[in-house]
Amino acid sequence: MIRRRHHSQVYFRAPLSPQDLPVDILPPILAQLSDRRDWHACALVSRVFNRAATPLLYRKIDSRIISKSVVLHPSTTLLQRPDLTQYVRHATETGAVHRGTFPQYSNITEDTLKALALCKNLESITWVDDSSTTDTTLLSFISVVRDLPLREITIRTHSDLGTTVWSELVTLTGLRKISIWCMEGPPRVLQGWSEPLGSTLTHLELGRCAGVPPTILISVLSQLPKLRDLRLKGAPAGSIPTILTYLLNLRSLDTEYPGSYYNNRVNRSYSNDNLLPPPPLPVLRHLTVRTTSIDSFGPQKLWSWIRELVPMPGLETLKLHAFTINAGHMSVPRMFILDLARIHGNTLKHFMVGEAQLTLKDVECLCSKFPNLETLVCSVASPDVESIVAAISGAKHLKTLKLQVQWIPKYPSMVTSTFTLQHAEDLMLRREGSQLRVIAVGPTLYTGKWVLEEREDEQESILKFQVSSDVTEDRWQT
Amino acid sequence: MVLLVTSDNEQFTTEKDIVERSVLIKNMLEDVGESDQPIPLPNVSSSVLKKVLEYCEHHRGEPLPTADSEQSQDETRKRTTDISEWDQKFITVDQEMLFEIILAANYLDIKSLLDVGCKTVANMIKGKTPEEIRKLFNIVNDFTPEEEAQIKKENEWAEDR
Repeated sequence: MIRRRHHSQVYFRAPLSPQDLPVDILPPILAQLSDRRDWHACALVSRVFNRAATPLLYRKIDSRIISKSVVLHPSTTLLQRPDLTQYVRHATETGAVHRGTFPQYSNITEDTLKALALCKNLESITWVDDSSTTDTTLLSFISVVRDLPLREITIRTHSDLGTTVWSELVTLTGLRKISIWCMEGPPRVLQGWSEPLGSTLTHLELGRCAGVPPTILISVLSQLPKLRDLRLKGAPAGSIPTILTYLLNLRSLDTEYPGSYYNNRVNRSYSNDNLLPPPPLPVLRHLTVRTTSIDSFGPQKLWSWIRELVPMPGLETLKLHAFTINAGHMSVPRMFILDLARIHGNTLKHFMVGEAQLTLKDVECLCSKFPNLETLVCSVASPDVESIVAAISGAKHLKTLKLQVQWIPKYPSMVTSTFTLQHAEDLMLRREGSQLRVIAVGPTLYTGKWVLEEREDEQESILKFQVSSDVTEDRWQT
Repeated sequence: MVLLVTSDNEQFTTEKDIVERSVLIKNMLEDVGESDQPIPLPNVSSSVLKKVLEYCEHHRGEPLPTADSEQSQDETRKRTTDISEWDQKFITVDQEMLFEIILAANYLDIKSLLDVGCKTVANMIKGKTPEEIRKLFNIVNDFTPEEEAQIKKENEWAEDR
């Protein structure tokens, strides 16, 4: 990027021959790639490409277990070519690599620690360990990253970290992001760590809060006023409104709502009897709620609880991950949609309730009450495709529509509808200015885009709208 | 109104709020103040400037990127294919013009146009083998076989994932 205020200098360059890629714009081009395989390929194209791709390839490093005896780890390269260590920003280490089971690479932990110590620009480290024994290897990693400009730490383990590791961990300061998911051991919610992190921490994920007394959770989180992004698993739903009163900078919340009955009056620091106005809450932009229920209308008071968390206009994304135990679909009450629209009508862009069921009338209501709606994900029952087209006609800015459709013919003698590629194309181009480009119906994902079609017989190429179909993302990550 | 003169000596008269999407020109105008002096753009030809002005006119009035947006480079990178439809149609040009637009966007310092151009070329590179990339851009492999083997060895940890 040129940042020059003086224009007396004039830069000339040789005219381009066709297809010649100018060298000076290669770094910003390759920076737009995101798949490591692409940078890996670019590094092998030519010297010029190699110079531009290598720094990007080494931004994020991790290792790869090939077989029971072979592991590929970047530390060998980094120790041989220390010049590459300056590029490393994120490192992922896997516990299984450091358990002494690779005879051909007996020094691997030592080498990794040496290489990591050279990564003077390291900002983020992830530790993944799926073994069932508590291991203290992480201790040596903590002591190395302590001297680096670390801002983010992510820990995903099956077993408990153990008191020794944990007591070292909580001495790290200056962190912006912490994500901890340990399946076993006592839940640890940053007791003693949150205070020193108060001035820096903006992102927090705690994978296990179940069993932690609400008073502890509230007191820990109240010390993190800078939090913008919070994900809690297992936190008592009743404590969430109180927690929010301390986190006025919070923009994104991802939490659970228990399937069982939730008493609205438990754990609240204020009540309706109190004449004082309720304390202010942050203006959440993104809210994700995970819940299960045995009732097809959802757990009792879920809807009023959600509204309670977002009393001020500003919500852009509402995501609901809901499962019902009795195999039916959870329904979203119309009153909830209307109440939500009253406050967030102008801001809500993404309404994603997954498996939860809306009627076609609900969809129609949603599309007219939220004029800026861009994403709609839900389940719906419909007699035919035309009824769906009619229901979404009010959504002028819709870009993504993902539906689980239960086709219910109007008359028993009618043929059950199916959704085709042609339907998807018609829907995407349903009117001038339609922005709808991603449609999923059941397991099929349709993506539409304009492409330039080269014609062999003519000089001119023409723009053509092309829709491709694929299977939707794998929900179960198989 | 602002008068621009291209490398092939063509003159373009355009409105200030359109042309000020170029940080280079914006700074020039601030430096010289009110003036009827034409602004020479010796690095941009008339055919390319026409395209660039078309882009600036379409996006006039939109907020310019701030220092903040540069911090979230990693997030931007994740959305490589995220090019708006107008931009996508605009940038559907032959390869030579595409590179010329990117160079002009870089020289004129129009970040959003530079991004659109770079994303378009990046999308062309995606999923290709080194040989396919060479063919795409007419590049000669200037590595010796030993050098190539050495690079493969060094980057083996990142292969195929």
